[in-house]
Amino acid sequence: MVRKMLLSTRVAVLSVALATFAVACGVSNDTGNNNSGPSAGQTVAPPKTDTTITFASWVGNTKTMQDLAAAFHKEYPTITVQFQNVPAEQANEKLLTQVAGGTAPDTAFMDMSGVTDFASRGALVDLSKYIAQSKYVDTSDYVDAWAVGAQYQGKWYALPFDGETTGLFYRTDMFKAAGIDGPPATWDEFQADVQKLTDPAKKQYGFIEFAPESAYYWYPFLWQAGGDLYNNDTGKVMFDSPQAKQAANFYIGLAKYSPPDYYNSNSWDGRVAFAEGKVAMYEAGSWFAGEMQTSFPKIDGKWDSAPMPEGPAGCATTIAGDDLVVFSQSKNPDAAWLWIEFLSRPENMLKWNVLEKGSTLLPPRQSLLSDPAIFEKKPVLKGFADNMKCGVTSNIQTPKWSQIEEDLNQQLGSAIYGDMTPSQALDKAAADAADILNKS
Amino acid sequence: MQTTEEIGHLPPGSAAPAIKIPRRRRQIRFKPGRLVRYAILIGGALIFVAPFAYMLTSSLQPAGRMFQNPPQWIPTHPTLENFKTFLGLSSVQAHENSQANVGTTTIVRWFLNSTFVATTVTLGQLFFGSLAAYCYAKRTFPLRNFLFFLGLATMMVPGQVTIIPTYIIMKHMPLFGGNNIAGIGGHGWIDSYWVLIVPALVSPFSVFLLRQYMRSIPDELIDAARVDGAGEFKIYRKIVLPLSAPALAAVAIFTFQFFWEDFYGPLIYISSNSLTTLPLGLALYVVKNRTAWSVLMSGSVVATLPMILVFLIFQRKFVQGISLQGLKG
Amino acid sequence: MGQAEAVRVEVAKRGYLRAKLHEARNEWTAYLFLSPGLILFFAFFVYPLIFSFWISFHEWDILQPAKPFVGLQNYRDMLHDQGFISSIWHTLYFTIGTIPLELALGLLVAVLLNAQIRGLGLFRTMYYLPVVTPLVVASIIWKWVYNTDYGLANYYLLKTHLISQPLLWLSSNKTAMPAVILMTVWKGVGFYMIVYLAGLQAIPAQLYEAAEVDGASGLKRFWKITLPLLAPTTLFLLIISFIGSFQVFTQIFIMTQGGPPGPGGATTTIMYYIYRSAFQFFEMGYAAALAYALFAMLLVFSIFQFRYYMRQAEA
Repeated sequence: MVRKMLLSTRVAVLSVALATFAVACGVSNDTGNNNSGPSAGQTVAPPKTDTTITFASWVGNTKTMQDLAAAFHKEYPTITVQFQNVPAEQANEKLLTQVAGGTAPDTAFMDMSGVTDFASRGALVDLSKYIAQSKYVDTSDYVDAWAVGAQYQGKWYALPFDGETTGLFYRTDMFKAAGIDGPPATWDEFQADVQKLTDPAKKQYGFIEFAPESAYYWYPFLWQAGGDLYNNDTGKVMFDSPQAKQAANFYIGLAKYSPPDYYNSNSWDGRVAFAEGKVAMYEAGSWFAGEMQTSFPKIDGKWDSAPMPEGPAGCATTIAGDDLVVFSQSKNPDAAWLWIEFLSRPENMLKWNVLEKGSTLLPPRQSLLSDPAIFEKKPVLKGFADNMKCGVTSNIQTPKWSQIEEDLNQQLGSAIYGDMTPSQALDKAAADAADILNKS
Repeated sequence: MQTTEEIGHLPPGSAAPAIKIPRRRRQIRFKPGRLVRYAILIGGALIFVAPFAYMLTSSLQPAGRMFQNPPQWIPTHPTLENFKTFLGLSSVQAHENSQANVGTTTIVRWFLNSTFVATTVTLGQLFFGSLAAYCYAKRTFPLRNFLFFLGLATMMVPGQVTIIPTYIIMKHMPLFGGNNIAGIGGHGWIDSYWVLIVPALVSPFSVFLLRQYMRSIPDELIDAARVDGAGEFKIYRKIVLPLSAPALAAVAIFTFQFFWEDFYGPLIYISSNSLTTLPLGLALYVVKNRTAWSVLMSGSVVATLPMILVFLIFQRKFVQGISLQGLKG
Repeated sequence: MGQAEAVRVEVAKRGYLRAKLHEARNEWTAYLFLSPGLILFFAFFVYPLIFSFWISFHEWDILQPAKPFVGLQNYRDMLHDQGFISSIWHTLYFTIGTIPLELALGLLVAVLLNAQIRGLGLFRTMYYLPVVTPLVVASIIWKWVYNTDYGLANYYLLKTHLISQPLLWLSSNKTAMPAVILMTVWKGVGFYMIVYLAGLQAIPAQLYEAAEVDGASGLKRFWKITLPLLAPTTLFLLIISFIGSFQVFTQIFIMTQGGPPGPGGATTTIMYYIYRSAFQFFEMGYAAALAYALFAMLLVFSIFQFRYYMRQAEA
């Protein structure tokens, strides 16, 4: 009861922790929870003996995460969270090896793109029964695209924890010089603007595309055109549809307004081109705003962000983010759950996302995003927050997807280089996908 | 055999290497060739040092000034802030959400872990490697060539495919990490110093280098000791080992360097903070789109310095210890 | 010479045969000496090898508990796998690009340094610096060196008018592999230099002096004495670099991710391809089969080199 009241008024987490600490000290084992009636559901009880759970992530050295772990320990004195730090780039490789070797951590902070790979192979705990009993986790509060990404075959295997959407960054100074009023709102405007902004002789380009990330940054256009990637019912890929081809023609068509020397670069290394005024528009996640502010203060006030332009089928964009998961090999799934449930409480999610000083991450909960007060200090994030409802995650249910996607990426990349037409690229990728799917 | 000159009066048990590799002696006289030589050497050296210098410059600048055109070799706004942040001494916390909040004790721990692992492995390789190399160089026994070539052949196996089998072996190490005698129940050697050290104690490459050097030890010397009734271990300890000192030094430098820089082993096997090594720790700063560049650069400088020092000090021994041609002539 | 002769005479007097007999009687000690190394070697090198050979006959999804036996299927698939076949070509390109350059430059620097010059230690250290720079960090730095607009390479090449247009480096199918090769050469030359220096110092000075008396020019001495006498060193380096080149991975992983895309990706080498199969596509069985194919290739190439080396070095 005490907890619920505090939650509704969103008092800082510390007081929650203290209150619960007091309760826990007074009544050992927190029996109150166990005795609650069947209508309230059975809440997960903390372990009676001292338990250590391992939490694999690349964020264990951040102060916020360490503070959260300390607060958690105060609230649940029998559970200690032990951080396992893994470099972000190698996290999946390490987790794979650990699972294969039977030494998986109890919980992990995982890029949401990995959830299907692990869930479809039985490596993760189905959280549905925990969620059903939880006071803090309400699945209807998660933004759709993130909710979809956390599920596999209709079951929840992960809790979305942070997120970002892909938007459009643009150089206000270059727009002004080209006589353009504001960011493009439609495909047509987009096309017109890139043309005006491109002048190869002056080493100036309207847009920038990267072959190694071509699929990822093409998806928004695919969805804006009304296309999709994969049909779970028929088990076939859908990216060779007319809508998809329309999207590919449009997106790949922009390559000639992009600097060719960045074709094999990526959205991180390419940021300098934007900072130096070589490109006027940049498709990227909200991280880009933070990076511009920290590393390129000299262009402060010369850029802004906007949602992706709308296509024939309306607004749509790609999303990214990190999820919290519990591994099937965990010997303490209950304690592990309590930890990720704790992190998922709105006030803790806020602590980790927007409220954090250097962070450009967004909390994937509708209740938090609709609160304008949250964005007072970070106005640049507001547009991205608004755009979250346009976010799309394809709920793809084949373990072969990463292989198919890699091939699609290759073919689209070849199209950026002009080695084949966009339609040919999609047909080739679809044919390859059929082979990959038939192989097993 | 000019090189055997001093062998006759080798005092037993002397640690001094008695074999001197003849060095080319040249008269110094002025030649235009010398100028050309210096010109090429200096030009080349500049190119070879440039990327490293770039790293050093970057580590001394605020993040926003890192990548500029034209390149800035001398920082306009030099600062030690990045080093302070890396070493956990900074009062300013630029990115609270970045990986920079590691703390001095942790960094020291990474250093100590790397030092401990690299030192132990190096000593182990010197001992086990020289024992094996002696046998391959100076003994005859059945299967000698087969075993030697088998060792060399394993150098050709891509490491990535043996990761999972190796991982499973480590996990089932009997009686370690909560395992029973059958190797079940615990995590074995995973996440311990054992896993970083024990499998690294043998290296076909080190054995090979040592063997090549030991072949230059005259057989007569060993035979003489045998006639005197010395046991094989005594021969190894009193004759072979002292005479191989330069090769041991070379292998020591190679090995230490390799394990100081080793990233893959710790990445796969180590999960605890307290066992993290320096390269693994540095990799924690690389996060997609959120890398703390300047801190990473200063960390890399700090991690590389000890290796540069080791090389500066021991380079002559290093050169003397590599013997690949035998000592004919 | 006298004293060595004395030892030999001494041994002969007291019975050379006795020494050999003594050694033969103690043959078991050789195994005793080898045993700690061999135990570790079999446990941590040979056994995982056999294990992964076994894996290569299965459809071995890392996480899936079911790992059905598929016989030679993985090996058969490989023959039709365009990506794999082109990765072999890319690997050969990389190998042929790096090795001669590394050998030539390593030898050049070693020859230049093998004289009485000022700052010898400093020069050696400068050339050796790349060797001790962590490969991950070196790759990150070189990515910036190759940046078309802001990188060091284009800046200085344009400034010295060696090129008139900025090069695309990592973004072009034509220059991506040469760029990776150059970076690898930069990282490796120091090692080659050190090994060659060792080789040079083992060449007796008298040989040069004799040649000088005969009036042989510097270049002639190099061709007639230095190069032939360095043959074992060169062969050794050849083998080592061969093995290393065939397993190139980290710089590709960080600098190009196997791209630029095109059929197969211009810098997708065998190791990178294996890595992707194993850890991105979860197909450990197939990856193991690929690795064995690579192993077989390396073995065929290097066994001949090794035999030749042994004959040269130990004749």
